[in-house]
Amino acid sequence: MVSYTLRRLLEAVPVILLVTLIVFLLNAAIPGDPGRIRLGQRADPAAVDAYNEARGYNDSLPVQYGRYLWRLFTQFDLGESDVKAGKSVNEILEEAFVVTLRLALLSIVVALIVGIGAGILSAVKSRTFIDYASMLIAIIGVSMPVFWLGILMIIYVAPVLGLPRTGFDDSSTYTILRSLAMPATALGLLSSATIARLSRSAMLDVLTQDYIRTARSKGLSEAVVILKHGMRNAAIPIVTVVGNSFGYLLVGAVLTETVFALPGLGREVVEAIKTRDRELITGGILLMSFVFVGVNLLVDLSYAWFDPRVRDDRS
Amino acid sequence: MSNVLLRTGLSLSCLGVLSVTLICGCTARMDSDSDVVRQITSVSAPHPDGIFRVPLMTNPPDLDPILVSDTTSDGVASKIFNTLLDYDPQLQLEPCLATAMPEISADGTQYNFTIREGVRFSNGREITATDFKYSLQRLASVRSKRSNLIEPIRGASEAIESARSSSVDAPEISGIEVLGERQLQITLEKPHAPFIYHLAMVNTAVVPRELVEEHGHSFSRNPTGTGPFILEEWREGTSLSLRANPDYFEGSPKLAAIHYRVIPEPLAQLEEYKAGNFEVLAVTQGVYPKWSNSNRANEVLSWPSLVVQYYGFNLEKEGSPYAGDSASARKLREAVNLSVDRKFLGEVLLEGRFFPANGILPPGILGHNSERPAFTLDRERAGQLLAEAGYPNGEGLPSVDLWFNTQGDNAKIAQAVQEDLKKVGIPIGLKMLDWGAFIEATDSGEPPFFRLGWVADYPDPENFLAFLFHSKNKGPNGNVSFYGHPQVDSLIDQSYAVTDMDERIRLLRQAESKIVADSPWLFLLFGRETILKKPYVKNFNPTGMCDDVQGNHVRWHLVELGKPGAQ
Repeated sequence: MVSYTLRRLLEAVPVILLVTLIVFLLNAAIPGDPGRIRLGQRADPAAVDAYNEARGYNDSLPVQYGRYLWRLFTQFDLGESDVKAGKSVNEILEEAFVVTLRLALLSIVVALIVGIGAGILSAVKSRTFIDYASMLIAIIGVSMPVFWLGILMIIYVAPVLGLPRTGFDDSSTYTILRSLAMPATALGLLSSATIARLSRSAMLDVLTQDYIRTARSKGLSEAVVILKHGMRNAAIPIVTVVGNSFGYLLVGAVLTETVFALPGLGREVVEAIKTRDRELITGGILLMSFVFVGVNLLVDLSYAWFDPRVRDDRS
Repeated sequence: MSNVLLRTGLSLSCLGVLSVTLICGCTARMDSDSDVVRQITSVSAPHPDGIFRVPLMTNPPDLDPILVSDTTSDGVASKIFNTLLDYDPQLQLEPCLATAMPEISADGTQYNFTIREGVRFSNGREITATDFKYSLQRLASVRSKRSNLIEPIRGASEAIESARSSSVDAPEISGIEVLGERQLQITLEKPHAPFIYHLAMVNTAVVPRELVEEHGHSFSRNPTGTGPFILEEWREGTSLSLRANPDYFEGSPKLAAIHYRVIPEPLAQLEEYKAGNFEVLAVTQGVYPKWSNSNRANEVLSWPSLVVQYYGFNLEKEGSPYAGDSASARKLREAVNLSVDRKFLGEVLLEGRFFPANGILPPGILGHNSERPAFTLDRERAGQLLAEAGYPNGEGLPSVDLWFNTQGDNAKIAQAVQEDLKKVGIPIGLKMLDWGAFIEATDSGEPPFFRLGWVADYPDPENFLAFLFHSKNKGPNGNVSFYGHPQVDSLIDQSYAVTDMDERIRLLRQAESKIVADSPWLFLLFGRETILKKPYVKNFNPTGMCDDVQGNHVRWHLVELGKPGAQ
């Protein structure tokens, strides 16, 4: 298990290096002079050139790339933002990532509760009105754009529940939960639709297995049969989807963050791309790839917990 | 079989429910459209603690005066800092941190200021003439975004040049001299009449040297000035709070604080405004006509802004039939100007927030020629001009691409213009880019036809005509039409040396008329700023220099929140 984990970690290094290289090449390929954007439409061209020189943007790409990697691996320094004077990229990403992480965690909780709940209910009450209703809602959920759901919730749900419509207040756990309640629900409901559909089919498969019949014939209660014997065996595909969803939530909640005015990672990186904040683009995408690789690793490792046969195979 | 029936039944039921919902929705919409006056529910109660709440689309990138180059940062920074001069509500310059308007030498090169006594930075230290010298010199540093503002000062060009190869924050400029604790003298290289306006721009605001040096680059995150408000808390990307400066030299502000919240989504901003969580709101698509014809019409506030929207022809673009100074090219450009229905663009497409331009200088700019009629649609004359140019009904006229950036209403205006031009036989293609790529392309002269606008830095015609049309500014300096005419250059150059305002206006109007006759642009629209403002907000009197809710040059220390229901 340890060697498997180490091997996966080592595999991640070239992935990250490749990501830095690709982002560097893309940054160079995108039209738009960083100095010009930084100094504004009315800046003196000589000042633009001086700015680019001072920031090292006039150096050749290999030189810039080497300098970046050196700073990254020796000091874990992602540089200073081009746009937000006096702020380091590490600082900006740390603040944004904390917001997104909290949002993703809460969303996944919502998605799991609603998705698995609806999936199990549909499977157990298969081909009844409950089943059809749940799956219809799931289809609507999968096809509904998050920004639209978000706007509807801002207009119709927030006033009724007395929740803040937009913004993020991290002054206490209570205010954080209140700020994230609406966006996490909007985001979570969308993921829950996929989870519900998958849970239903996985549970339907499992419920026809012999060991479920055996469990029932032993006289176990239906709840124990479903939750202990059924759920654990149906968990692997669900975990894969949940893991991937979590990864996407961490890096791709841009629309939700925009609609609900949350200063998260996705919004920060999109803003950086718009303003050609090169250091922040590179740092942000690097962090995203770290997160994605990490989440995938955790998903893989979790298989072993759910199904020891996986662990045996790999060791 | 029963399952199939059940599924079909369920599907039909759902379709039925959806249809009923849609029909009800549409009926309700139609009903509301037919109402004479819409009913809009909008909470109207001021914050009990006297906090003025403002939504922002984006986080202000920088609050250090020498770095401010966007309207959001300008709006916030101008509440924290003060300049030597400022504008009155009629956009006339008036003293701010100077005791009076400067004494200007007869040759127009020397400006003598006396600094107000007793004005303090919010750290408690009194300002002196030395602070102004330092603050102006900082504009020469390599980090400065607006070094061009001090370029007319004697010795500034050399200082800017030397700062480019060093890390000096405030290189010595010989033309800025401290003659006493409160006496400041600025000497220009040669007369430059518009220079005085630079001293009312937030970039030239006074800053405390000790705090700039203490914070270094982070001064932008910890700005300290003499303004009516003091930065209290800045949570980047989320919110920014300013509290009233009780020692403000014009008197303690009536507001306790200004609280900005960053909400990028306009619909979400509108919902917050309706819920009573903002005092003002920048109006976006759909809001202006709806609110103007509602029980909340009294919340709509609109004023002409100092902005011109145009589509420029690149006059040096090889292969473009519109380029060059030939009679044919000129007639083609004139034909384009006569083929566009600007009234439709302004009144219908942009909901009355813009109106047809009649030249380059919008109303509110000194020298705006109100007697020149606005450009109108005349397809017949456009057709004649096309034929005279050698392209009857547009036959054989090559298509050029109109380049524009992704922002706002640009795409739909471009499509409408494309349709208008097609009606007289002028073919154009459309090319949309993001701002960064777009501005790089226009700087380098790549697009043959492009959309741009110009917002006044100061209400002087030179700010439009010199930047956009003087041949010395071709390319990235502003003249991206690559227009050049010796007569126009000469008129602009002459105007710098003239201190008599009437004479300056006469010269610059002449230059404008010459440029308009050459049609280097498709002159499109002049603009209006439109916002929603709660009725209980008092003394929020915007000028043409105001960028929507930012309230630049509003007397913020006088703004107050009345009682709910107050008009």
